[in-house]
Amino acid sequence: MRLIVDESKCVGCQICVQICSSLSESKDGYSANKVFNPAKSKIRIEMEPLQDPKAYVCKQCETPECVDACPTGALKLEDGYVKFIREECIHCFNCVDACPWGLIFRHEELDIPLKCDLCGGEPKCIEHCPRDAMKVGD
Amino acid sequence: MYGYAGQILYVDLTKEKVVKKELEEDFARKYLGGNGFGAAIIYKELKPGTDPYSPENIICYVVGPVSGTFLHGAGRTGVITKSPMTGGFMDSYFGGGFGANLKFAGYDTLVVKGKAKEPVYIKIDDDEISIEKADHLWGKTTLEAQNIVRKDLGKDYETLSIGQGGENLVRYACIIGSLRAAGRGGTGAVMGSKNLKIVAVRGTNDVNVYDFDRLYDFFVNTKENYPKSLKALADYGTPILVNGINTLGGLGTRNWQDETFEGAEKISGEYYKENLFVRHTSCYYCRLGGCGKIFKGKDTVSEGPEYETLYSLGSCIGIDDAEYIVKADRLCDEYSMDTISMGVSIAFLMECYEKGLVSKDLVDGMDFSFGNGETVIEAIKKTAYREGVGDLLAEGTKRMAQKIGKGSEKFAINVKGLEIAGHSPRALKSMSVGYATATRGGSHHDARPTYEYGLKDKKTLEGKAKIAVDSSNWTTIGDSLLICHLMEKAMGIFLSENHVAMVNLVTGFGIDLSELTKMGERIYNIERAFNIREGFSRKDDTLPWRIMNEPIRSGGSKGAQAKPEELEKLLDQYYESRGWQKDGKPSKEKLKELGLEHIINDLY
Repeated sequence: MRLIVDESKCVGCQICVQICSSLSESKDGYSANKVFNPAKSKIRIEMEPLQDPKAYVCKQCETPECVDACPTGALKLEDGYVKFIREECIHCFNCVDACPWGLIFRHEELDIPLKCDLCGGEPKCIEHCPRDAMKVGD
Repeated sequence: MYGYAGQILYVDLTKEKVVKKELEEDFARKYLGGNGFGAAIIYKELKPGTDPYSPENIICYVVGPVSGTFLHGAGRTGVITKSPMTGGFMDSYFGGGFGANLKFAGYDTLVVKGKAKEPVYIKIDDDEISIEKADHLWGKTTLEAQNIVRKDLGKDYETLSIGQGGENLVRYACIIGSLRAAGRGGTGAVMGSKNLKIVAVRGTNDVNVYDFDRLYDFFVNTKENYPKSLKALADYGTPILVNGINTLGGLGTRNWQDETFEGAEKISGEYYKENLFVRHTSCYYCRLGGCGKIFKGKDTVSEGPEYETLYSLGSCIGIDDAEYIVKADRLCDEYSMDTISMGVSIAFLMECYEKGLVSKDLVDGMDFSFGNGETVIEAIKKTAYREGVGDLLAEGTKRMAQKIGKGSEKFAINVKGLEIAGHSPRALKSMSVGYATATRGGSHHDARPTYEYGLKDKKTLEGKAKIAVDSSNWTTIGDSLLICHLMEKAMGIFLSENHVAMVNLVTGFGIDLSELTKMGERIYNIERAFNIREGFSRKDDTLPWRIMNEPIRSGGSKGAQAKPEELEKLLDQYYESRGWQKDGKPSKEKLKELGLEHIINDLY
């Protein structure tokens, strides 16, 4: 189960990025950031002039290397996606280096890796996408 | 301070010096941001009489308190300078990701002055600022140059650029940010005069707002209203306006000799969507789903044309070939030239040619008949390089008419030297006084045509001056916040509680609608004072001779005309409503009321 962006429908408005950066976890890892900052988003949309936008977000691998690299079990494959358990994270960021796709991000102000965990199953970005270009699927 | 990055960045290209100044809260509360900041800065720092092309001219790149958030149409950037077209105040805006990144980098305004010894670009990477060599970029189109810089610096940089039009000081050269244009008034020529090719910015800091939870509620609660009222815009983009405005009889045709275009259907939004549509595209942080449309045509692909270009490079020059307009639009954007002024300048020359006022030599032997697409493409290329007839076209209609003479100034369609947009000052009375008083000249973004398009009685003068006043107060605040004017149908055609909510939730200023209106007035009065200091007065608040003296020949608005005595009446009403004197000067009382006492001595 993962977040799927239909790039042919995506218009590059970056609303998902803003929703993610403002409504997902802050420095302490438990409450919403409540700030706007695409560099703190777990999804990135890259715009190239006259091209389809490109979406970069965790693929929720079936054999996730980030899970293997995590020394504490803070990343766990369960219910079909890789969950992030904040209490267990020791901020080693091994997962960032381990991801073969480069889809776990860091921001220097944040103590946690920026990895899409589907907001625990119901991603908030999806409901705000103005072109219905996002869904959760396999 | 909530809603602000907190710094103003000054770059002096002559001294190669960078200074960061803290944004003062008093200044923010007085001028809000964007338009307001730019107006206050250039009023204070530019000496009257400064040549727009001199190193002393200043160009401000501005964002507002809403920039960088997810609020309605927040993905815009403003450019404010003294215009080479009008010699007066100029502000022009473009959508995309540049402004938000400037704010994420930590700046509410970038102020550039001086002139670089050789071509340069400015690189902003959060708090690291540098002036970089741009020899390898000079001579490149806007897209080529931006692609090179983003390849070198990284795709997380946002850029704005000029093309050959800006380098060669085409008087109406514009600025292109990614693909979108700050079109009007020659801001790109000012960059060219400073040897400044590109500004590139990357920002990774937070934008903090005063009350995030309530702002999110506002965002959610206004969601329904938003796409519904603007559905046609989301589906078709601004080209959807062509058929409606043509039916009304207000689509400038063959240099405004008429206002109904027989080929309108073939350049309509419906036609483009059905035949040439490639995809939707959006500015950053716009919840509409993107009014931008990518169209294909004549071996090219372009973002656009927008409605204004369908008028200026379509009906106004008698072109009904949709594919030619795609090509012409793309070329103008690549060279960085305002499509409105380019199209209306070509239209003017076509009429001169039709009337036998210019020799074949002057037009380089080309067939300058209305509707000749090949000539238009060639004329655009020549203009970008100021070759042959392009050197004349690059000056805009006011100066072209001065050179050609023979009574041609009667059909030079500009106000204060800036060509008018595709909203009829004859059919719409609020636009007649709106264009005449606009501090930019012939712009449709001071006063807006939106309200009067929806009115049944377009002939009466009653209330029309007030519409122009109220809508220009809204656009001034919209440009200061900084949000897109196209959201007006959802958020308010005039200043509304929605705008008050945006200001208060983002900044925490706690102001009400009357205070917000006063803020809009304050900023607009500074723009007006800027122009008065440059020598403008009531006599300049006028319209092209044709618009005042020739009625519309045919169509839905047949017979409509902005007669001189009618305009005078509207001007009286407009000035009175604004608290200005009969001569068009803001009264001393008005300036005091707005907290602009420091301006009184400059005007009296």
